[in-house]
Amino acid sequence: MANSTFNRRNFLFLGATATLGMAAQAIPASKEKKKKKNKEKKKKDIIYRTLGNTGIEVPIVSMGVMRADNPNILKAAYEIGIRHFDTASGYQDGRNEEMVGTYFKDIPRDQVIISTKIHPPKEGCSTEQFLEKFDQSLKRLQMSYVDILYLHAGSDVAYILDPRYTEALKRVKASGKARFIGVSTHANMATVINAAVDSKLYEVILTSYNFLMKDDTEMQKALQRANDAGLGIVGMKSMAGRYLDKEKKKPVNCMAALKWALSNPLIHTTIPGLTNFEMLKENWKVAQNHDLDETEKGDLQLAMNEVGLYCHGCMSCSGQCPQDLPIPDLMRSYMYNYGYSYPAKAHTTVAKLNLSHNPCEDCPGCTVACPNGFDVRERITDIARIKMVPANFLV
Amino acid sequence: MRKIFFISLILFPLSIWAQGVVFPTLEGWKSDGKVQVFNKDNLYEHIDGASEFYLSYGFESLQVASWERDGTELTVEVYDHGDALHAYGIYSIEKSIKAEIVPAGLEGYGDASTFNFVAGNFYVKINSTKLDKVAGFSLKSFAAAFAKTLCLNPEYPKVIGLFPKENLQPNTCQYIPTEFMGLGFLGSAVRAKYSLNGAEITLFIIERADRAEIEKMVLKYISYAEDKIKNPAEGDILIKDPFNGTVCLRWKGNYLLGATGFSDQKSVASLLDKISGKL
Repeated sequence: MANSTFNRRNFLFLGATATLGMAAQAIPASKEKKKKKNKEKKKKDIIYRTLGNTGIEVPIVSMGVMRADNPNILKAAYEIGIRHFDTASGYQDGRNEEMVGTYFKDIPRDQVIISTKIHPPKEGCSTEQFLEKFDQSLKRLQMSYVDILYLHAGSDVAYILDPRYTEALKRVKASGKARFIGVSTHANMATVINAAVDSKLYEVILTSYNFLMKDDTEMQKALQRANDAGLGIVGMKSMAGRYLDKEKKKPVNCMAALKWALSNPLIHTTIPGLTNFEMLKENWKVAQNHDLDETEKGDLQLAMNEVGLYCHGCMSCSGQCPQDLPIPDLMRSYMYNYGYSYPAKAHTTVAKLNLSHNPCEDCPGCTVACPNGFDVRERITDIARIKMVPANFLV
Repeated sequence: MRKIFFISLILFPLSIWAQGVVFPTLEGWKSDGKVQVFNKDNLYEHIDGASEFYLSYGFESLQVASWERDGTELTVEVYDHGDALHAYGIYSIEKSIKAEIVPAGLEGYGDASTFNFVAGNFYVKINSTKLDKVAGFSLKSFAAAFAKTLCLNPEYPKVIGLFPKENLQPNTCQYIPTEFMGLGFLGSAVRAKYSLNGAEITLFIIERADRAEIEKMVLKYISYAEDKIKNPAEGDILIKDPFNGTVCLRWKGNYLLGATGFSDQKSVASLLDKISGKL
């Protein structure tokens, strides 16, 4: 697994050894609520948190079933003490739900918390079609209800408040086929979370949350708001993709990353994707103790110092440029082109800015300081030229 | 370096041709002619969280084209998985065991509004809405014709042909690209389920470039299971796996065969004989 191959030497050139200070609200694992597991299980203390007003109490480590193809991993996860399992109708075209259903059909239904997700097609679908999709999910899961049904992959307000889908979710809840309804998000998360809170409809949020968001104050505020409003908050993508570079030569210390996410008490549980038994055992240790040791703090700090391709949208650069260039938009365009290999999107974004093909040429030097270490001038000079390429050449 | 990157922007559309996908013109259907292209870095924008699974099957690119006719929409997604084994793998893992297989490319299945098939390096998923309103249009026929443009004579990966046909449960032959049985050291494998004497047995085949790789794997498995077998030799080895139950391994050169879920070792041995006889 990635964390076991983590090599600190990958990061030594960065030269930073500062300790972490980003999890301001972190509470030590020793002060967390712990429960003795059932007597037939091992005698380990596990940290539990409650998913907001749902009242669902689960270990802080749950399981994303998505990539598991072996029901024996589900079995091992259940036997080790994991109680919340997350799947989706779209995973393996429904086969993932089938596997979950096949394994859990012999387990008392009230002993596990099952969540699934429905993603309407890009062109949209009616309330009835949404409900049909969900009924298919229940059939595959061999269950009469799920504990949480998410509207899958919300990245904008219009989508998560689309009356066709909100009506479907309300009906599902009223029918008892889902105990609680939620929305999952891995883009534009703070906005989606705030909208979900305001809607007074959603009860659970499933959101990307990892150490790369340490300076994202909007995200922290949104999580706090959701927590205060009584929403359950489930974290995902805690390992930030497991690698920091496109070449996959700089692995993330996954255990440290998981601990970092869980050191924020606003994250009630996480759903790391478990695909092997070693990973399961390692992740489960975090359910007993999420305190970062000094080595782990150092590893994450070094990883955070890595200058990657991704603009975190912190807006620190706003107002710094004497030419008043829209730097966040340009950095985002750079990310689309080189991070996502999506030049058409980069072209569209740059074209809308109405800049020259070399907007930095009149500046003798650059005074903009990016907290993530981007060479802003170099990136602008590089990406602004894309507008010279005819749009129909790009995809 | 910057120049190289910049030039790659201009050349990028040419790679669409290089991938050998030519979407057809459908008489009576409207299309804006645009093909959406996704790669490893942005596949999630199209299929969200499911993208990780596709990436584990060697995903290289996805091309999506759409047509419209009288309010009916037709979308074709062509996933390029780099080689026939990975394409078959992702197809096999998404296929329901209840699927009725029909000839389209290597094979395919579908219903009134969807059709999936595999052909060479490509896994193709066709979706439609309200297709019943379009008289005379058959998803199956469309799929079969389109498949020929992708790969004229698709063949099953060689390893699939090693599984005996007798007692084989339909649609259970699957390729797992990593961490087979949840064990990182086993890596990739092909598996299939058999009904034998009331039991459901899973047979698997692991193929590696040389014997030494298999030997290393066997030693790791013995160590993982904390077994006391010393100096294992080629032949049958019984492993007490703490999570997967009793596993019967058969080591032959650069192949490791195996079975789980059995109660009668003799029956399993005869199944394994049928595979090892072909090696």
